[in-house]
Amino acid sequence: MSSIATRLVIAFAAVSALPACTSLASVSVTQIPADRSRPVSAEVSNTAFLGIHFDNDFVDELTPELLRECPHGRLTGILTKHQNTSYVIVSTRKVIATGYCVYDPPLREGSPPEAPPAREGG
Amino acid sequence: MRRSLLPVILVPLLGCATLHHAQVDEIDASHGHLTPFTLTADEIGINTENTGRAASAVSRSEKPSQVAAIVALFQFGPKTGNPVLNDDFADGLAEEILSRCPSGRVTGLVSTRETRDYNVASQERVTIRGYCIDN
Amino acid sequence: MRRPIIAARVVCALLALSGATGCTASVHEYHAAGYAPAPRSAASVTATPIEAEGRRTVILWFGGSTDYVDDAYRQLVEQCPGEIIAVNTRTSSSLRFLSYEDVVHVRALCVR
Repeated sequence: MSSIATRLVIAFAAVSALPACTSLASVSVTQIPADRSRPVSAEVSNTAFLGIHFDNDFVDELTPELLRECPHGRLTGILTKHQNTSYVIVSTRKVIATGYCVYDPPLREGSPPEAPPAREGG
Repeated sequence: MRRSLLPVILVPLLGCATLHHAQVDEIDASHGHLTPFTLTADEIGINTENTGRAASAVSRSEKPSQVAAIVALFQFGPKTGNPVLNDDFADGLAEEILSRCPSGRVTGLVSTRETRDYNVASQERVTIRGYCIDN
Repeated sequence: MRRPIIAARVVCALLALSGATGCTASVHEYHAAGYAPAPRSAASVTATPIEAEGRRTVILWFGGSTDYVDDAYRQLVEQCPGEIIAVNTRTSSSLRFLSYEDVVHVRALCVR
C-alpha cells in the first residue's frame, strides 16, 4: 500500500514538473488615462481536476477586488486577460485585470455644469 | 445515390453562421442624437480537412485526404473558424470607424467575430456596430 | 474517370502549396473600445495614431506565459504621455509546422 502511495506521489510530482500550457482565451483593453500614477491589479482563478468546472462564479470576485484597490476613484485603462493553464490532469482558469485608478479633480467655479444624471426607474 | 447527395450539397451552400466572440463597449446617449452604423471586414477561410475529404469523395481516391492531413501539420495551433491567409484583414476598421462619423465622436460599439461556414471554405468576418454622436 | 483524377491532383497540389507556404493564420478576436466623446472644442487637441504588438511562439503546445499581452500594453502606454482612446485590439495566431505564434496587435489614438 505504501509503495502504491509512493508511486502516486512520484507520478504526481513528475506530472506537476511538466511544463504547463497557458493559452489566452480572450483579451480586452479599454481607453487608457493620462494620469497613470496609481496602477491597480486584481486576479481571480479557479482550478479543477480534469478541467471540469461546475460554475463561473469565481469571476464575481474580480470587480470587488478592483474596487477595494481604488475606493471612490475611477478605474480605467483596464487590460483584461482570460487565460487557461493546463497541467495535464488539472487546469486553472484565471482572469487578470490591470488598470489605473484615477481621482478626477473637483469642478472649478464658473466651469460649465455637468449633465444631470439619468433618472432611475424611467 | 445522387439524390441523397443533394442535401449534402445544398445545405453547405446556405452556410452555417457561428458567433465566436462578442463585446459591448460603453454606450453614452447623453451627448446628442445617435446615428447607427455597421462596418464589416471579411476574409476567406479554407477548411483543408473538408476540402481533402470532398476531393477524395469526388475522385474516389485517398490521396487528397492524405495530403490534407499532411497540410494540417503545417496549420498547427488554435483556430477560431477556418485559417485565413492574412490575419490583418480587419486592421483597417480602426480608421474606418472614425471616418464613418463626421463628428469623430463614437459610442456604443459592439464588436463581433463571426464565421459563415460553407463546408470547404468559409467567410471569416469581423463586424463593428456603433453609433455616431451627432453635434 | 480522368476528370475526377485530374481534379483530385489539382486539389492535392493546392493543398500542398498552402501547407508549404505556411502562411495561414487564425483571427480569434477583434474589438474596438474606448471611443470617448471627443471634446467639443478640438482645436487644441491632437490625436496621433499609435500601435503596439506582442508575440509568443508556442511549440507543440508549450509556450510559457501570456506576458506578451502585458508587453504590448506597456509598449502602447510608453508611446503616449496623454490619454489613449479608440483602442482596437486584435488577437490572432500564425499557424506553422507543429508550432504557432500568438499575436496581440493594438491600435489606438494618443490624445495630448
